[in-house]
Amino acid sequence: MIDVRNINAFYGGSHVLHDIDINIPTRARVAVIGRNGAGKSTLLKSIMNAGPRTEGDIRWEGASISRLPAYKRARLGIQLVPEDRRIYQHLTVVENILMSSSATVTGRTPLDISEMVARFPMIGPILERRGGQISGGQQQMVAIARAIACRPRALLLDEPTEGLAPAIVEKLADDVRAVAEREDMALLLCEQNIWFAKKTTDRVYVMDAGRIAFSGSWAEFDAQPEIKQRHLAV
Amino acid sequence: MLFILINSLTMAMAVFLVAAGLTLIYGIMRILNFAHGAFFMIGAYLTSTMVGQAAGSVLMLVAAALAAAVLVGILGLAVQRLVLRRVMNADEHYMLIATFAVMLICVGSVKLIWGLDFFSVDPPPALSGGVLLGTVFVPSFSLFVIASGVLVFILLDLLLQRSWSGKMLTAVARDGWMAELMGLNTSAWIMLAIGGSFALAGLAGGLLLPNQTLTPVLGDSFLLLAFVTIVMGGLGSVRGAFIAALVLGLIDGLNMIVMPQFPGVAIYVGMIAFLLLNPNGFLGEGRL
Repeated sequence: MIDVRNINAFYGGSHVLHDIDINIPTRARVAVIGRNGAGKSTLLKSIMNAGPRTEGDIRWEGASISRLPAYKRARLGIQLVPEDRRIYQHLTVVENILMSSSATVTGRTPLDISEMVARFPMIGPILERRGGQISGGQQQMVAIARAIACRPRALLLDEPTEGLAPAIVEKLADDVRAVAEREDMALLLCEQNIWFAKKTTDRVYVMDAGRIAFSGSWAEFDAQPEIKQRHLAV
Repeated sequence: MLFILINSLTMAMAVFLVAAGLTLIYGIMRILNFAHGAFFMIGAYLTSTMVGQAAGSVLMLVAAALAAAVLVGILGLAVQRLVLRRVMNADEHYMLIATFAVMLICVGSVKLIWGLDFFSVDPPPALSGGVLLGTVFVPSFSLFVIASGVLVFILLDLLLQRSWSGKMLTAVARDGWMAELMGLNTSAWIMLAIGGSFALAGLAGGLLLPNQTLTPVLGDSFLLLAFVTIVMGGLGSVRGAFIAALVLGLIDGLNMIVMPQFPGVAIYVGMIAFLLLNPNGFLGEGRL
């Protein structure tokens, strides 16, 4: 579904991603793990054309989208939840969620609020609060709910567990897993929290210094402890 | 006393009409448009060409002002494509210099098209008289300006605060990056806001045309007061700008009573004092 072919990404003069190849089949759940600064966020932003200058080919359902602006990529059905969540403070939770409806893919019906609450019960009590008045965990839930509401075909999650309490991380893992299974949607997750990544995805890429160092299933990853030692240990 | 109050309110609403467009472009979109006053002036000149020596009726004046708003809005889109788009992500200094150049071009064009002569347009007959409020004679045109200001304020406030489009526009202005990721065509929204801002400048020029002396420097005095208004109101707040315009009008009224030999001084003293005490303005972002 998303086919990243040999991309290089740059911020100004600095070369952040080197010859990255990543393939996410339809409905697949894939994690990209790596240390801070390995280039995980840059990869997601490159897929969306939302920041770095990117060279190389990015394909969606076989067709190149390398020249499309970010909003058109969003309208194809790719939603990115950035690590800083970026909930609009002047809008209520409901309004934040409704905002993504511009990205609804033709032929799909956006989820209404009661369906959202069914998927993320945590947002039920805070629907009318403003974005600036909710906790970090709630913001993460709202950010994911907002991305899901427009029924995307691929969800890109950037470090969803960052700054969250362990109990919330567990809850979030269950919700993300359930949503990914229930919706007709692929998941590309960037994480440092390996437990969370394992719980929500089936395949894993390890990224180190802007390059892919490993790719395979979680069983293969576990079978090679030296990968973890070399590319993930701090 | 009542006479001065009405005068103050008229001035306040005139300033608000000019500042309204500026709140949109500077306050919300963070585009420092120094040429705003020049487009206000162009709106006035365009309206004068449409109505001639005197507007035949109130309706005709309003219709001409609306037409001027549309024309100036279109000019604004051209300015956006040719100039603003290129400096939007640069430092504010560049924006200032670029829009200053646009202002000079506007003033030059006005001189070329309409000449250097001062002229003025009379209010339509229905507004050229006045009404007696108690013992005070109030010019009808003042009431027209006050009503226009209040109406524009209510419409703009409803549009930005209550309507979905207004909320989306504010979202684009606050975090365009995220808005784009949610499928909003942010450059189209920015075009819309800029066109709207210029149109408001044109509209203000048209509505305030009668009783003004039309000269190529008409924009300057209003531009300064409009900037004072949006700064005092808190950048980005239409309500704040409205309150600030009222306060400025009243300060100016007091000025006329207390120090009639120094007109206009109190406004600037008032602004400096106010900003020292309250740098975020009446309804700055910090309080939203």
